[in-house]
Amino acid sequence: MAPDRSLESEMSRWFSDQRNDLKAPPDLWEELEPRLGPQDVAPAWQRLFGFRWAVRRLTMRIAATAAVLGLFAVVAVIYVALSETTSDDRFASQSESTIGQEQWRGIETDQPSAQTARPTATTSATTVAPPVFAATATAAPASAGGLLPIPPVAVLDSRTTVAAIGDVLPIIGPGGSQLPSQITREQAQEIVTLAVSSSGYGITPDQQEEIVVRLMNGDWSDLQDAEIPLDLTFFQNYGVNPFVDVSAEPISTFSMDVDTASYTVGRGYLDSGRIPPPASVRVEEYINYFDQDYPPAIDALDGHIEGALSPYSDDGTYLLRVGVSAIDVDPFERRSANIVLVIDTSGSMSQGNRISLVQQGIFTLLDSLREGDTVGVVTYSTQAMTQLRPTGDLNEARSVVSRLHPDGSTNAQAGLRLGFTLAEENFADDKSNHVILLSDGVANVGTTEPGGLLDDISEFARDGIFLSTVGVGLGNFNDVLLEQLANRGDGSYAYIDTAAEARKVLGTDITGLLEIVARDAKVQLEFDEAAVESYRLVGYENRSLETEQFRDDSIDAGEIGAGHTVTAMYELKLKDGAADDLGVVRLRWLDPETGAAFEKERDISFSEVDRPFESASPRFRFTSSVMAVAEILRRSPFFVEVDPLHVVSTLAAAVADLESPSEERELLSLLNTAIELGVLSND
Amino acid sequence: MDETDVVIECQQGNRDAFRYIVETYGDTLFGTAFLMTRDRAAAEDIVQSSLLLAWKGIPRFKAGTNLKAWLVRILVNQVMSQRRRKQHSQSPLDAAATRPATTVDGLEAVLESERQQEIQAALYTLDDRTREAIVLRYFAEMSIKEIAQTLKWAEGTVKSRIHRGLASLRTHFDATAPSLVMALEE
Repeated sequence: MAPDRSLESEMSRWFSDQRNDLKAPPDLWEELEPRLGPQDVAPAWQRLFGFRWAVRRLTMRIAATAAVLGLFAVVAVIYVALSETTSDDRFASQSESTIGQEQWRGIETDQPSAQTARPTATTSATTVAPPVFAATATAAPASAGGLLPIPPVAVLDSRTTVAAIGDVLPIIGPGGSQLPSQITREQAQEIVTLAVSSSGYGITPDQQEEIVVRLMNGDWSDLQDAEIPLDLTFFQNYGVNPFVDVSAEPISTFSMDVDTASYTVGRGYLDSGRIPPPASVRVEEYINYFDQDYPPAIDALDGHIEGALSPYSDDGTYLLRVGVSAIDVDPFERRSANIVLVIDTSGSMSQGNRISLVQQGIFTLLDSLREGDTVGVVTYSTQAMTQLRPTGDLNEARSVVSRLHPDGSTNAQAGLRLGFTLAEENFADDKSNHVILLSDGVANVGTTEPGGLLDDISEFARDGIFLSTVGVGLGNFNDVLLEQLANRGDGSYAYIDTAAEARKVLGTDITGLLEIVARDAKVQLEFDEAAVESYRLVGYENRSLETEQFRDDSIDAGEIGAGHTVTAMYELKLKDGAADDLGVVRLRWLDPETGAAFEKERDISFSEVDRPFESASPRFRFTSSVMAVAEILRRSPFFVEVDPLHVVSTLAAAVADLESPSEERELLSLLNTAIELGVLSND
Repeated sequence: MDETDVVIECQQGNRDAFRYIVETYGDTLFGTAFLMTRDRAAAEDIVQSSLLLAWKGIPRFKAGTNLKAWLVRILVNQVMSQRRRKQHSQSPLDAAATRPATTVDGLEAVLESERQQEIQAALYTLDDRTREAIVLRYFAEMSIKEIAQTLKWAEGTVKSRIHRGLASLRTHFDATAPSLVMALEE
């Protein structure tokens, strides 16, 4: 047998031959040079940024402390007010019967849904009963003042502007990579538009005009001084949940959310060597992008608990993961679907590969449809047009979609109305009726305010026609609009940036989109004051609900598709010598067919979280690390002291222990690149 | 002009200085990417995107530290982040995005001898992570410490991976290529 030493020298020789033979392409530099763009950051400005960053961190810490103190006071007052109107037997209607897993108790829902899933679904069980929490329904929202605002200042700095110029040059210049000495007003406007959308914030027309003029005068190098107040937002900032004192507010309630777009958007930024705008980061969507390995659900929804000491603080904070998995449905056993595609073919869709990503996605979708499904196609630019009336002929649909041609302005409202009209005409009670909007989200004609469309969409969702949205194209992508539309339409919202992602969203995941297994799904945790000092729900800021809304079935919450998982992370501060009983977690949802309400609950015990981080499961450690990454990216006041390198190292260790990491490894490598490039650091 | 000066020139936006870096390390980067992906077009894309990122990031690179290791780190991260996208079968879009393939001259020429083919084949029986460590060690000629920093592993892990990789190559040769084992024993 050959000793390793000789094999090693053989390898060395072989690789040395390889070195002689493997040469970079001779035109490497010629290919590269035109793509280089201006240097990203001038060293002098970099120092300035470092200083500003330090000041910002200090400011946020002060703001965080003040807000937490203020919140406790507010919550305490409200709690006193509430406790006078709410009797202690709020949960008296629970009866213990074991369903699903051992620790879970089914709850008899003797106040069935106030709404039914679809107009024709009437069952004797769905008589309307007064909500249990009617007595407190008018109380002031306890958590409304509790969010910590990230300072509402967008820094449209020279780095963002230069990056935008780099993006725009191939479009505006005759192939050159230097900023032209003379740029036109249109070119300047385009640069500003791109720079603003890269920063993730909006600006007023006056501010835009000022910057345009400065660009035209070649006076843009000091734009870092232009701190621009937040006005209209592309990415809306929902703030950061604070720690809540259990003695003041023991109950945390939120709506489940299976959206993932925020992560895909962030990945696009990281991939291009940039950090995503803080306001674009929704922690829950970062977490929920990744598959969890929860055991298959037995009921429509099952819950899973795991916890450990947090590696991101040294004051004994615990991390608690609340996972929910939905029952899986075989793709061949899902209900037939009536789908109407509403496709944005406005001029902006011709940028980059947006329209081809849309086509790619739809072809994948058509491939996963089967006999009994129908598909219709509506396109909209300046006006909406029916391109294909709903048909089972998928080849016809393919040929219609392959002919898409972007042109004109964006009348999303007309497109959606026409789409819903088609879906309504083709409505079938026994099928899944779904409108899917594919757009870069820029609606510049018609009602561009989300509010105008939203009410109608809620109506359709109540009538059993759901709306999901798919965003494409980073840039002037309007995140808020698409998320809100899907939210109202009881559908889901995803973002596609690559052909692979298009195939995932509209291929692999399509059963989960079309086959809803739980409607208006909510999670509630009630912590035991004797054991838990305070808690913080990390993420779900725009999904939080009032305590009494948990059992109010008229409240719109998350729709969960077959096989979907939803995960929430809590940070807990426990009391010394805490009792083993930390509290209770409850899940509640409506059956999509009958509208009947289901509820189950289980205890959370200290022994389930009492372990060092390193002893927790790889998946738990990975999820915790993703949470921490998102917290750092969104500049959460609770993570300013945490070293990004430490977070990446916990992530790397978790990835190393996962069974077959793929997208997990991709995130790790993107973060490593960000660290190498110096864009992800806390100094 | 020493490398620190070249880096400082790059940081001030001097493209000629960056060209020097590209020409100095282009072959190592390309070869490493090729050995990791076994796909010439993919390796070319990865080298291009890594160098673009390096140009963007060089203002924040600390001049005087190990430039080659930094470039290889960026490259390895690009290999990993593109691997997932390649896993989902090549799409018409991806194909359209890549340039027309240059003539496949390298691979065949490289694999003249039978033994080299065997080594190449054996190398691709290793799992990705082990192969990466071995390529970095013997092709990119990086130290154990540099590999540890690049792959974010402990040094001990790098050593044991390489050791296990070599052992598994030996097993592979034992099973499939007795002639090679004999050759090695000579």
